[in-house]
Amino acid sequence: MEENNNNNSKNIDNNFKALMKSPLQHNALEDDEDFSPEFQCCVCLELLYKPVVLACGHISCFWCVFNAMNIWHESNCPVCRHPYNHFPSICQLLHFLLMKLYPAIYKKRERQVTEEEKKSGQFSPEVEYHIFRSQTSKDVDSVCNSLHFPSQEQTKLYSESYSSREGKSSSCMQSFETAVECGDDTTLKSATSSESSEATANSTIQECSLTVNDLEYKAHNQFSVDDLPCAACKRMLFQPVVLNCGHVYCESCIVVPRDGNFRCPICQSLHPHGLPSVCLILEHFLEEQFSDLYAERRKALRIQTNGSTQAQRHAHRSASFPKNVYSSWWVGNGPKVHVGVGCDFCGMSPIIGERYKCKDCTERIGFDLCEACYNNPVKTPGRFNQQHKPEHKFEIMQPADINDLLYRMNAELSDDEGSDATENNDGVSRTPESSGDVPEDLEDNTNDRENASPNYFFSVDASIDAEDDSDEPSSDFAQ
Amino acid sequence: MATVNGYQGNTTVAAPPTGTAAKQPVNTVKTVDTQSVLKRLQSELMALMMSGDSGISAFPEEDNIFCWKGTIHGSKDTVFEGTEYKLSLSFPNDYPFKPPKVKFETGCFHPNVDVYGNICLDILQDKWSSAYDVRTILLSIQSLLGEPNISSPLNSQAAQLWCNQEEYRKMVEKLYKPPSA
Repeated sequence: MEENNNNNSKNIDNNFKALMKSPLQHNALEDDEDFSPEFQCCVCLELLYKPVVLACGHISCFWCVFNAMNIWHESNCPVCRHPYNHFPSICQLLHFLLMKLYPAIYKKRERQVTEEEKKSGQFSPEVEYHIFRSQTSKDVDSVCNSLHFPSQEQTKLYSESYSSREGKSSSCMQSFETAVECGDDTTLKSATSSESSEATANSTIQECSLTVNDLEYKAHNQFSVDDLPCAACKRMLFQPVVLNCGHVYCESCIVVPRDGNFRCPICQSLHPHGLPSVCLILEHFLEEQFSDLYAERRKALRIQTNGSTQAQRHAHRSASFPKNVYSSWWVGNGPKVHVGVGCDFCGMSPIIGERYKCKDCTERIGFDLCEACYNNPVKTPGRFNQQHKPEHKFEIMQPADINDLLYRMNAELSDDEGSDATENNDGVSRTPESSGDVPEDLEDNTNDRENASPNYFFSVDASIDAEDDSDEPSSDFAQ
Repeated sequence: MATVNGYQGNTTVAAPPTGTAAKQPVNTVKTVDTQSVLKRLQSELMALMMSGDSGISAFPEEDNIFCWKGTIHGSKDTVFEGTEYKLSLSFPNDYPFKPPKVKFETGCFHPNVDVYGNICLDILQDKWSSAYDVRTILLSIQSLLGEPNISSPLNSQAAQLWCNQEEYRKMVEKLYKPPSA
């Protein structure tokens, strides 16, 4: 036994070296910069890149959230299983915070992800600094006009636009400087006992400002309390909550109207989940970096409120759709469910109700809107940088037919089992027998598929819709 | 932490299929790059080597990082105390969005493990989350040993015997074959 163990450990040593040295990889061992484990993505185990904050307050990378989502029904947070129906937008505040905190690793992550995106042909939205700054600084009017995601250069690869951004750097710098000026004002206002808090803020600035060769980063690598403003009160965030649109507010700054339909004051988009939970990772970070200022905010808030608001808020913290929304469609009652298709504005996935598909967007991933977003047109590019234009035309799409879906899955199953698909036509007429468990039932059937393609797309259109086109009535809409 | 689910057959993947058809593989490009799977597994390996958890260990098989061999020790004060079990873990190309296939290589007399070593554990099936990793899987299986789900057994003999811990312990000892390295 013991000898075996010794042999084992020797083998393990050798194997370990071999595995880590494999030419395919160049990460784990040579990370010179270290990042706080709080900012590690729970899915890819690397530094968060283009962070997305779920309603429960847990953070993952854009692609990690997207890839972990469910195409059949609501998705669950990988950490706490909190259900959600909408794919949130990237949290720009966190994105730029991480960029300043860990410029070298963040840049490396950007290169990695860009490479993967080029390979897959799907792109995550670009986030530009001056737009972000203009949103978080005082100029709210320009914010409403500016887009959720920048529209320029959507088709260009991220790297290309990166270089082109340097050309604009003067304007970028200007807005950056003005933003800093505004920020200073707010710091002074908020810091009532300004001396102590200013001192901490300054020392943190020194601690956190990192020297990087890259010019691009040098412009904004001074991380300070100004990087963490509430979009409403403009002071440093206190108990931050991140909305579905990616904007961050103090929990106390959000007032949910009676009807529960809360709209983001910056981008006017409806937040679908009731009030999200406080993003604890961001809160810990704030508390650690600006402990004095944070304690002050805490004290001030305690005087202001007497606890009643908190209870009222908890009432809004519910899952968005009832669970049976998804299953009811399968048995023929209830709104349509568009399996594997998400709305490119609000992020609802799968789309419930009518689905409006852009006829003119050529990207493989397609561009789709749910009914609510179709009726309130927005000028944003898609979630995946599709080049959608306001003059593009839409058509109503019918959801994939359940029998068709079942047949296809069955065919795929029998393929895997090595038998001929056409002999297993029983599957065609298979209909769900009981309500409620249909999606689960489907999942069971597909359990055996070993090489299930790993992913779904926001628009899974191609195969399913292609056939439907002929017999489904589709009408044209000009937006 | 982990609960046991109704057995769903000799399968591991419970995550949803794509809406695309087999006959028309339109979306041929995989959005999950094997490169990123590789990286994730390497990070896990690093973390596992550093963590020094007692009672569990795992390591890739030879030079294939997609196939691991794991070891768990029966926890103290359970009928499995003093036993050691080898497991195999094989990771799909879209890990961690799909769970790995985990099997006992050493025979294990347990209500939720069948004679082929298949494990009935919900987190390896429909309750899989992409935040789970090798370490949490092995810890879950380790705690499953001491806390089986009797209501949905794979091994009904073991399930019936479970209420008699003394007899069960004897059975474990009788059937236990230490894994040969």
